[in-house]
Amino acid sequence: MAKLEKISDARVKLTVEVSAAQFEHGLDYAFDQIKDDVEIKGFRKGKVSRKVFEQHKGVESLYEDAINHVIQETYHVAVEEENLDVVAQPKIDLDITAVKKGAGFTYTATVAIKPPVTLGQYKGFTYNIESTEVTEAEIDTKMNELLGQNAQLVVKEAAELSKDDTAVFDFEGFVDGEAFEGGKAENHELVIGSGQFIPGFEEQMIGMKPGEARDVQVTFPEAYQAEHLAGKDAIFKTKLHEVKVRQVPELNDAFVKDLEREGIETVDALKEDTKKSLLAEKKQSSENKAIDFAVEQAAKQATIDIPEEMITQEKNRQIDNIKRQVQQYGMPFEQYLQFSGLDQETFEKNTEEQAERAIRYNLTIEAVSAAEGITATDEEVEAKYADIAKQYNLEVEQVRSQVDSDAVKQEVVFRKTIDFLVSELTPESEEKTE
Amino acid sequence: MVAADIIKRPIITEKSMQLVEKLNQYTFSVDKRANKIQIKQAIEELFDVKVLKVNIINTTPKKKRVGRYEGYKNEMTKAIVTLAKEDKIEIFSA
Repeated sequence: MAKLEKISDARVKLTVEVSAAQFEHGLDYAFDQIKDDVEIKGFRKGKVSRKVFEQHKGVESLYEDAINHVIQETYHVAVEEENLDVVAQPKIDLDITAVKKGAGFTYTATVAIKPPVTLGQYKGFTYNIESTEVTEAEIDTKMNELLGQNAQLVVKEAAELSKDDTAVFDFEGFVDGEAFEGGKAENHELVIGSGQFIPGFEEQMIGMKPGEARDVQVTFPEAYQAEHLAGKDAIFKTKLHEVKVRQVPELNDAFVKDLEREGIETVDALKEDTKKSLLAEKKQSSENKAIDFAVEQAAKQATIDIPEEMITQEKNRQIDNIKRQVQQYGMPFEQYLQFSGLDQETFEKNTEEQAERAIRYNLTIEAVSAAEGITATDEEVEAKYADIAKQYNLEVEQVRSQVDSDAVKQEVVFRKTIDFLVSELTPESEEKTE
Repeated sequence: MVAADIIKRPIITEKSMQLVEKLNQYTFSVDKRANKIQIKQAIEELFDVKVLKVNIINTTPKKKRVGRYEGYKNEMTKAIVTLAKEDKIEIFSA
């Protein structure tokens, strides 16, 4: 027996009456749960009857579990009876002192329900879909990148070391005439001008020839990480072995063949392929931007009073998600926060904003599909199943047994609504011609 | 001896509870010196019921050791009291 009372658009109060019989059933259930662990002298574990138990421990010890059980059962029944779209955990109020064996009790549940959405404008926003044209210059940049990635270090014979060359050399450092730890290496590779070494070191090596030895005099900076060396003068004895230069390969058919990409053997084919992938990339990104814009605008115009519990629940879900992901990388959550440069408070605030946005978008899209009467046909649902199956490398039947068809249907409708929103965007230029 | 001295305490165990349920028999620990007639009278007086039959069992004390000290568990006389069908004793069932 439940009574419904509306508090606001997004919140209702359910008053549920629990009968004595229902409560008795709850007590039975609670006793069943703990029975096997009750120890009373004269009885083996699990053999105590409820009568004896109540004499020894008091029936009150069963109340908590019994009440929880009863509330769980009656609450769900009540929600179903009233046909509520519950979006968050209910807040349950109950006067526990009024609970007595052999009688029923009444509790109230304050429930956040899916708020009604008043759609504003959601069609005909002005938006220029980004051009997906791929220019020659973009392809060239890609080509250069590719060449750069495949660059090789080649030994330069009989050359003087100059900037941007790679030096292969031995060195040993001395402070006050004594070698120090970590100041020695052999066949070390260093790009001159990269600034990896102490300031002044790399510059002094310029002009060396392979086989030449040279003493490099430097002063450790005051802010050097090894404290006992900071600010000290040091002499490094260096011996150069080789000078290497970075050689970028030439763009020709031979190079393309070396890449060993399937079906691509000539420069033209490579360019064509690059163009294709660039095009796909651009298309994807312009599509995403259009979707973002369309949904964002529609959501902005819609009036939704999202109940706080809904946001909190979504927030916690997102935080849990992130925590799980971080854990998979074997990183403690605190460290993740440090890495992303956030403190707990900002992180929670950010997530909360994200959660609110996600809910707002979802509700808006749902409302739009309802307003436009967008539904999914059986064939579309089928196609979606096939899609999912392909994505996870499973048989369609397997997916069907695990994923509810309602969920898939919802997903399809969702997708179609988004497409609809995007298709309703009006490009700026068209408006001008009207 | 008065009734309260004869009947020491009820014995509530799995076994005694079974007797209650199946045969309406109630088990008590009683004074060693009491006989069946005294027990019957005491029960009838204390619980206001009709006793049909009294069986008594003298338990043999078991050997018991606490560290290096040897001794015995206490002796006890158990009385199993059969009541008339319509009678009940409340302490055994809530």
